[in-house]
Amino acid sequence: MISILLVLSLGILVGLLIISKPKLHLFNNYLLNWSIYLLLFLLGISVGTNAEIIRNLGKIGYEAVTIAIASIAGSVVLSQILFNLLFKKK
Amino acid sequence: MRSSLIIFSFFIAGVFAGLSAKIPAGFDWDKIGGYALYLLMFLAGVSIGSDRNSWKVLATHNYKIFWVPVCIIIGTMTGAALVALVLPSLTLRESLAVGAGFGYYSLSSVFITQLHSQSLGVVALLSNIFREVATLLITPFLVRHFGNLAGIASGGATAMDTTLPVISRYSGKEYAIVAVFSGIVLTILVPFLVTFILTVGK
Repeated sequence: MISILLVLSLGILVGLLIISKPKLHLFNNYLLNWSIYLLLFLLGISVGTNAEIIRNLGKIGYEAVTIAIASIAGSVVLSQILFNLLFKKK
Repeated sequence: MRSSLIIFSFFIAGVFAGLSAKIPAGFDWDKIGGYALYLLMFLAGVSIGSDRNSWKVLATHNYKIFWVPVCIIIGTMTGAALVALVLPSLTLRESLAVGAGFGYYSLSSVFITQLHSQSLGVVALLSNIFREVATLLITPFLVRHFGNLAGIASGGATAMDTTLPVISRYSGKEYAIVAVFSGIVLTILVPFLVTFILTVGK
């Protein structure tokens, strides 16, 4: 855990160093996008070859949708309270 | 929306490649994923650090908007915790970790796959894509019934980019800055929170 967060913090520091170099931002975002594509493609392959996950896809989808709906509902309810307390124009 | 379709189609293409069983038997996600995660982490860090606009928005002096991401975090974690009570197949830790993606499916799914398991990684991918797509669809309804912060809350980390247009259209332009602020804070917190939830006390 510590090493992951160290790498993230190192990245943020490097980002700060190149803050006035827009060409490097573009290059970094290009690398970031393609590494995400590649990782999700690889995740897809290992899901496709994993019989247990394929068998449980219904259950996985059900859990995913339930967590998403509960997360949205919880944050929307709290945001409404905050809105009424601080943001609403009287 | 466009970018999430691209990302999701890479995943689906991978699934079909895997199903077609032309992949060598020794394919090992853990080996590749381990190093790839560090690379992704580093690149995500650089992209956060080098974004001048993010730092500018974060340096805002309007104290009210600090409460927006706080409420989204507490609300999301409460909702996800309730799911763990209702669905016996999920532990509290698993459910919270998926919720802590706040819609940022690419990073959170890769993280969870690496730190926990592939199947929970897939739950995180689907769940957080669903959160983004649902936000795009129901923001008009949410804003009408739950106030101008509701779309921002529903969008979570995506409120800074993919769901920003729909939020700013239905909540008003003055809420766009709130959406970007909240989205940036949550986006930065996703890797920290997911790692924390999956590793604390282990």
